[in-house]
Amino acid sequence: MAEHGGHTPGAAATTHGAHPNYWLIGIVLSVLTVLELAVTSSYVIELLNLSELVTNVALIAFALAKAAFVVGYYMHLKFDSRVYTTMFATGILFALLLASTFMLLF
Amino acid sequence: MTAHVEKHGTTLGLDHRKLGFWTFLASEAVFFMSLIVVFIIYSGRSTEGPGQELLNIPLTAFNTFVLLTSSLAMVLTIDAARRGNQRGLKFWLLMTILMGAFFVGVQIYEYRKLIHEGLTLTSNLFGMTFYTLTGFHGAHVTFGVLWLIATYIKALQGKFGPDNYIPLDVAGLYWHFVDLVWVFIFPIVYLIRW
Repeated sequence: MAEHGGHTPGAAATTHGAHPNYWLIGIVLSVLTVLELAVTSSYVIELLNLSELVTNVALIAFALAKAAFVVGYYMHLKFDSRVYTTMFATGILFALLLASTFMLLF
Repeated sequence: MTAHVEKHGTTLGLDHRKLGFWTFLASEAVFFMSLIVVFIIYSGRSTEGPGQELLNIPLTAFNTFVLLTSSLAMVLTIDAARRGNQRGLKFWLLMTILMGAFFVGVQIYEYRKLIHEGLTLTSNLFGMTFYTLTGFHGAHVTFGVLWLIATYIKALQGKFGPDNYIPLDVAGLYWHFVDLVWVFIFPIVYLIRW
């Protein structure tokens, strides 16, 4: 596969071969943001009888979903070389290890 | 291929600018994670002084929407460059810059208001961790806006197109990354009660 437009024909990755519907992804991200606000509104909390734990887990889940859309489609990791994914995932792994260590220490 | 083509390749067959930038973003992820964890650990330990109740959630939610939309504009910029649509490229890049500048402007307004209400860097642990985390993010957005302005000047000179859009792609990666970080900062700092 070639990395088009990047001066590296013959490269082992497709940068922008795919054409995701960016507008649709933008709408999904906006909806997820609205859902984040909804689960923290007192009206929805009372209506659904949400506990603080459920609300917080929902907020983190919405954030992770948004992050997956941004990284996968806007940053094109879903379509790019696995080397980029591995490189970034290594950083995330170190970040999570660091976070776990801090949480345990403090 | 030409010497110019080989100049940007790696033995992996990837563009070295993108590979290097993904490595940089990996290190940035560690940096922001450390700031977020410090906020989580210390913000709830503030027993005196102003705290999370001062934060303007509707305003920040709107700002979050603006930053997310700027990411959409950025990806449309790169798409336009890839298609050779110079008009679209310039329009969406300018939109990205304007939305990024708006985000920074709102953050400055928020800081001024919070400081006026008594929340400063030295007020308490919440103030210290809040300003450190959001301040570093704001600095990243500001740098991103400056980078995009420089890129826009090059775009006006017609330097990007279907055969040369990787510099735009790399700037886009940075811009999406600051958006990605905010995706976590918004719920953790503004919505979750610690």
